[in-house]
Amino acid sequence: MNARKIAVAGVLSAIAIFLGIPPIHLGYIPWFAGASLTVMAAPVIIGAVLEGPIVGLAIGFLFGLSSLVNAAVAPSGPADVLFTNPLVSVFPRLFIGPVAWLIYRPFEKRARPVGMVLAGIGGSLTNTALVLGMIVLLGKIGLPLAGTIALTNGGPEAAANAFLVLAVVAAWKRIEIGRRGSQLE
Amino acid sequence: MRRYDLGRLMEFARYVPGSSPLHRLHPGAKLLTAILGVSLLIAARGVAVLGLAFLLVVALTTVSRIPLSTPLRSLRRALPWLLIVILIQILTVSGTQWGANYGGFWIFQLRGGQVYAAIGSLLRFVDLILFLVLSISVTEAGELSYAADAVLTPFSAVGIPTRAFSLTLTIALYFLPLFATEADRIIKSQAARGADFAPKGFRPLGRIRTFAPLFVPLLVIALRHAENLARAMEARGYSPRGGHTRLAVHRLRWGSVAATLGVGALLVISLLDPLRGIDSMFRGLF
Amino acid sequence: MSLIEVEDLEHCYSPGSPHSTKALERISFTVEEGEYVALVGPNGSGKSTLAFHLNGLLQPTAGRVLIDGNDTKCPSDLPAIRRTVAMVFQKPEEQIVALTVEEDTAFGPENLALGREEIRRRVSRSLSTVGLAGYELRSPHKLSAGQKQRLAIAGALALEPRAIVFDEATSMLDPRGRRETLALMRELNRRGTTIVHITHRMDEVVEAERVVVLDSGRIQFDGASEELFGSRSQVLGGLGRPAALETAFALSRRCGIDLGTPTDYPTLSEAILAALPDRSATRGNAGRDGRREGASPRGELRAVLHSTPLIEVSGLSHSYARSAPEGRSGRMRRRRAHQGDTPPSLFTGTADVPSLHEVSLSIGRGECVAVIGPTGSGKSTLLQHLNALFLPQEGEVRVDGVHVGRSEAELPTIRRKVGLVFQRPEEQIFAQYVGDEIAYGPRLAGLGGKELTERVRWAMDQAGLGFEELKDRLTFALSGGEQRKVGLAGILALRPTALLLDEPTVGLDATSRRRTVELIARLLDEGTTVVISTHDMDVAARLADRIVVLSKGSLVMEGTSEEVFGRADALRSLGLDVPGPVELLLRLRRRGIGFSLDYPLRFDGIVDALAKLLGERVDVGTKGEV
Repeated sequence: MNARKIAVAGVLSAIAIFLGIPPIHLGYIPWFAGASLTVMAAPVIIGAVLEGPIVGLAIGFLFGLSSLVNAAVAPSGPADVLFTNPLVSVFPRLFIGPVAWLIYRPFEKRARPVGMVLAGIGGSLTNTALVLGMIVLLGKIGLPLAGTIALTNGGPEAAANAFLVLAVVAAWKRIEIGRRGSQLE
Repeated sequence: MRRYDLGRLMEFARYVPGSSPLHRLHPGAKLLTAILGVSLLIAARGVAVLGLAFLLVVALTTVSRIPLSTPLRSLRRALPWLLIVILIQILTVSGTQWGANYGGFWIFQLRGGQVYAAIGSLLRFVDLILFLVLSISVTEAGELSYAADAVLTPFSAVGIPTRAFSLTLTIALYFLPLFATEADRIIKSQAARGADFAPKGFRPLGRIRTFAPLFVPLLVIALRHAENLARAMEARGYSPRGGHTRLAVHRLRWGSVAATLGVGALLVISLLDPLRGIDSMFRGLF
Repeated sequence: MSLIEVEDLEHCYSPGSPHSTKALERISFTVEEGEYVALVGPNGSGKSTLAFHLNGLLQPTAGRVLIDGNDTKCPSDLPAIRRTVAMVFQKPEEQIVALTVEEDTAFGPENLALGREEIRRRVSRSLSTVGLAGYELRSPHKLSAGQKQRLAIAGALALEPRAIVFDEATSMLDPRGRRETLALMRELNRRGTTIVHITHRMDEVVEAERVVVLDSGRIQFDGASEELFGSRSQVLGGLGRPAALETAFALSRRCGIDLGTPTDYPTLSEAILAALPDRSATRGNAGRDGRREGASPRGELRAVLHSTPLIEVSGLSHSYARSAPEGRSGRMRRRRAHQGDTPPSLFTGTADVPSLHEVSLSIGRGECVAVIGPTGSGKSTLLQHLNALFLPQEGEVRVDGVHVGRSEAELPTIRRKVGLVFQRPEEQIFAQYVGDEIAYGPRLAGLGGKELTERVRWAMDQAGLGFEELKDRLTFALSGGEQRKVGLAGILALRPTALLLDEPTVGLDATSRRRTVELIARLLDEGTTVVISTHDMDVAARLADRIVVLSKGSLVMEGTSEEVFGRADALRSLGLDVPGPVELLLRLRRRGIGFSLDYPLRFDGIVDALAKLLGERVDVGTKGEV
């Protein structure tokens, strides 16, 4: 683990934790019917894309840990009650980074932007699927309900995370995406 | 005028200074007992065990001399959500269709089994919340890094980069308040240009586009910090293969060892479902 | 064997790719043990790249670097190299790796796998050398920027190096922090540590006996500092000589007197006094008539503009401790706050966050007001009240007659009228292309199409950015200086009536600082009202009509530049400097030489006034007449 990986892991973990701190929830983008899209998966995915699966694992772990603590200490929604169980809050998040990295890897040499978007979607869906999956496994909600949430919330959330991952990694690595030039006439 | 205090932000998950026996545990012990305790609470079956655990946690909280208001505050906030979750569980999860019939309406039947499950869930959540609040309240941030290091060091013999992880944790904890300041500045900068971060559009893309002026600079600045920090670390001789010693010392006293072993033992015992008898009696009520 | 030997060093970024840039070309020099060397150059000259080579952070693309005989290209030698030459970087907060002061200092020795006792000894020793003894268990967050930098130095000292390289280590500090750091460097050198000080500030260069000038990746000069300043060569083109020196040369030319090579104003004043043996009696009141014929464009404009003040503040108080998150969900609160109200602020809680106590002032149209005060005195907080980012907790703020906070609908209009440029505006960049980044503000204000393009073009021109070349460039690929201009252009594009600038010159080299001052002056000439908060007294003196002095949240002094700067003792007791020329004026006054300065200060104006004092020599060669 060289210094670069540690620094990136530490810094992005701080961001992931920070975005989730109650009561502000900066990382929660208001969605419909009181639900939100959370983008805390984005720093995890960015870490994995830039520095590898282990960094992604570490960031995911710390992110999960922080959501566990927040859930216990300052709950702000029904989901938080479930997050007091580390099997729901920590375990699933370990996979976000490695999955994202695996998706990105084939694109590393060519079509990086495509890889970034897919990694973003994949990582976010991993989060959604595994968290909901654990909740169902523990018998807290039924499968049909979980499925509905996955679609109505998980889908848009994946899009949001993918956008963010693309924008940030492209900016950081100075990769040009799409259009050639600004939108001025 | 509306303002958000970072100070109040952190007041929920904060260390409460003190010198109780719990405070004085070795940081590694604090970490291990927290892990073991949470595992116990997750794996426990039966209302009896959970009820006993509740009493235990309350007793420990008293010993730690933490003001009761701290855990109570968290409980109070959780209560409405707790009830909602339990309600959903009762209504949507099958497998609890046993016991006396309490009647119902439409397709929902309230049966004894469900009430029993609800009580169990409630107890489990309450236990977890109280235990986690207790653990956090007796642990300082700095101790957390030390604890991670201490607990993981034995694994470094197997080649796992434990120092890397404890450094990562330290760096994350260090940068947390810094990012609050920088996020604040970014929000204000963009507000000065007319942004109001009110979500626009119905597609997720439209919404996140509105927030791009907040998230993109924040993450880019973060990565820049990482680059410069890595350089500074290397300049101060950090190397992945290098050895290292630690400055801080926490003496391992028998109290910490006993506490850790004690909780571990409780975990193992609880897995054997020792209070089965009491449990069945309780179930019989339903 | 020299401590540091650099032979034919070349460094190429991304060699072989189309983006490859040569940062350093054929650099050769040596540093002996115990020297104090200053390495100067404009931004982009390759200074930092060179610095990184001295410690093995970068490897040469060609040539070699030897530290105490060890080659930086040899990985197994790197630990020894880093023990010999330590580094301190520019941003204090990016060098901290622990949650307590002592843990951070211990990081270096820990990496060396030294015994615990030894680590403890080194930590104690380093902390007392830098003056942080007693702070061991303190959290680094509670330290001031100057203290954080001292902590970084302690971390370097704990390695017990023979040399320390300071990579622009003072550029992000306020004057006090800078003074502390320089004093420490001097002391360390006195005790035998070799110092390599990389900087763009000429006033810091004079500390060193030896100067190496770097420009465009090449060494332009390597020798004694007196030689550098004495020479009339254009070596210092990109950097500029210290203002005092320039003044001395200009006066020597005008008056035919040799004033030597004074590098600061006190020395210059001595030289001038020495050159005026009997003239003091007759030249009693020179200076005032140095005023140019006719009023300045700004003065004319102001006479034409409205007489009512643009911004009025009365009895404004503000306290960070007071906040009111009621018992509702955070998100709800944030959403309501976002609907045109004050944006949520996440920040508070540390010791350095100030309050404001009953501040009252008014800012006239077309005026330039400088807000000065020590760090933590409330300057930024005040500025953020002037454009409705903060709503007054107590007291009132009126912008163009409108009460701030009276109605939510008015807030966006106020923020458009009064533009605020934060410190380091380059950090707010988010758009992929430069054009879009600058268009963000006007677009939110409702502009579109051709009008929007024209506005962006105008803003870029104002900020010194070429519209055609840069509008389609990747914003993040620009240099730091260009990014800052983009940030500035983003606010200018809103065509604000008033512009608030929070520390606009922090971290800039002399050329950029001058350009920024020129830009602000230009805006003032066009009728924009300007309020700047700054640590740089010279900048304030060159732009401001009026000065407001804050200390610990209260307004302690106010008046015209002449009035405020005249009270040098009062300023000094607050920990503030006076501008260099004022220093000169005070010293002359103390010896009975009546002399006045015309604000805003202009270099020519000062030279004119001094030349009159010394007696201008009408030379055949220069003016062509007797």
